Amino acid sequence: MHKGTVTVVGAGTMGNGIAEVFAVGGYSVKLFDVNEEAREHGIHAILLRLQKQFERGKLDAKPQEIMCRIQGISTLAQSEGSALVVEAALERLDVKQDIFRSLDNIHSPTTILATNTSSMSVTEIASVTSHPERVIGMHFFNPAPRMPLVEIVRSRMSSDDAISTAMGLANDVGKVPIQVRDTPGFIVNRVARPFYNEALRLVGDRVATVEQVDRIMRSAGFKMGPFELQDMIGLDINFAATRSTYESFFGEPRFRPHPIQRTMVNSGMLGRKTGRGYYRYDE
Amino acid sequence: MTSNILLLGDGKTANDLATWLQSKGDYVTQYRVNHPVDLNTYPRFDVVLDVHFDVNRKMTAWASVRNCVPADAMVFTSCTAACVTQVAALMDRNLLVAGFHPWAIETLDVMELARPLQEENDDRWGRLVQFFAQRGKHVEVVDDAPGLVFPRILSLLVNEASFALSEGVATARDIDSAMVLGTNYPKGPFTWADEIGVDEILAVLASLHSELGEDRYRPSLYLKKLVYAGRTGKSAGRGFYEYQQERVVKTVVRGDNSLTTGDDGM
Ligand SMILES: NC(=O)c1ccc[n+]([C@@H]2O[C@H](COP(=O)([O-])OP(=O)(O)OC[C@H]3O[C@@H](n4cnc5c(N)ncnc54)[C@H](O)[C@@H]3O)[C@@H](O)[C@H]2O)c1
Repeated sequence: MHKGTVTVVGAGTMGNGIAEVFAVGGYSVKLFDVNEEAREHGIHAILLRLQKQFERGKLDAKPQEIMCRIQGISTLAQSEGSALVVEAALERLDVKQDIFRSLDNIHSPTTILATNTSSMSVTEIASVTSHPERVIGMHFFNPAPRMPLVEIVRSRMSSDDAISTAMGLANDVGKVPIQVRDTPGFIVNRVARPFYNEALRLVGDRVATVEQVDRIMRSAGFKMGPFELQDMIGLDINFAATRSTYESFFGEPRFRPHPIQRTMVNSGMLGRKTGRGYYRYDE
Repeated sequence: MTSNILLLGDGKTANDLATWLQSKGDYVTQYRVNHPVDLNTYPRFDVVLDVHFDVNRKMTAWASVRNCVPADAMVFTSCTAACVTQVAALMDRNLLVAGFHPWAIETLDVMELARPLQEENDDRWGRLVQFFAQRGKHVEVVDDAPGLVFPRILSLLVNEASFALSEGVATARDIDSAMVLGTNYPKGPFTWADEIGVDEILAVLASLHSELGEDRYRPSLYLKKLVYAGRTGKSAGRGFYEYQQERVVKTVVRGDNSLTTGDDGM
């Protein structure tokens, strides 16, 4: 059975992960990136992951069969005819608006246009299109092939049809879609803020040490404590998420970042990737 | 190692703590303010554990049992919604007091203890740490602030989820599922709050709000309304969710597969 075509715009970490999800789910996938090298790199990254899974017996089809369904495209216009386009390019409003303006011109109003933005307003992105009712958010989590959740974001203009089609598509590729209104941080990035913010506050106030907070929260059932988790995510990424939520809510004190974060980030102590964050990994 | 323990408080938290202590071989006498018993007929108590989170209730309970507590007893008082420094001062004796929290006593292998400012004797203090260490808990001594570490972080998560719920970001069920699936939380914040008690979560926030005086800790109005309405969680039969015989009811599966409860108000 032919399942239709999904185009992914942006072949970076999220884009190539999302392309993999739909290809494994049986869809034909077109992958676009402004940077051709990034696109080829993205396609190669999918192949490597599929081969690894195949070797571990975790893949029903042969990697080559799945890769046949993925086609790199060099212009956005070649995405015509897709049932769904998922944009996972740069996290900048002007870039996303440009992409959506083009997509809006290329695609008939029945094509669902989705953005994978984590911190921008889907409504603001949709506002530049002539058919904003088919623009929604499809917020995948990193790594997209492994994380089951997809937040399906309803903008102020999204139609019920667009939302239910997107829910159906996400279900069809084995994800758990959850509906969320277009508000800063959606559910997860917003509700998770205190896990980091209050942990930082406790340490800043000398109520407990970094190690204590991590041990206590692990004992409560969290897989990782707030500091080891920040070290894994990257302190810069986590700080950016906190800042963006704080700014989106116009300085709501619940989201206020801690000075410790800025000092760590400005000093290049970004966590595991630099060998040092709240813990040391370089010894 | 067996101690003769006076446990102050009632409800699920107190019952769980009593069960846990008994499983460690302790003798536990539970004293409920609403159902007073004559403690003079009991052998002397070595240890007092107070699980009340409200300071006034702590003091009411303490006033009725203090004559039966010897001067050298060890006292552990719940500090989910108070500073142990304040509680120790109000107890008005040179007692050996530590702040602790009784949440999820069966599952947590860590016990947080807070030391009051007045407690300057390290040897004496060491006895308190020993009590829980001997019963298999890894003790973390933290500084004295309401809610210690775990209750404080969890209550803030519940508060943020509650703000999101009342702003209509998503349904209660969906917010819980998203936190479990999107960030690997062991439980959704609302499920967790219903288990611990929405009243206790609110008390942590209210105490932080008044002691630190910061807007950051202001409790969501929806949390307050749940408590006003007596919907304090699972043991009350209703909190963020409705319960019947330990099961969530009114859960319907929509065509789009998103789970929603009929009564979360969104
Ligand atoms: N990384 C995460 O954890 C995560 C999670 C959820 C959502 N997101 C969101 O997903 C999006 C992509 O993030 P990422 O981590 O994959 O970034 P990335 O930097 O790995 O990849 C972005 C890709 O987009 C390409 N690109 C830039 N401008 C483009 C354009 N105009 N048209 C087409 N392609 C363009 C870049 O060449 C790059 O290959 C962002 O909006 C981000 O906020 C990221």
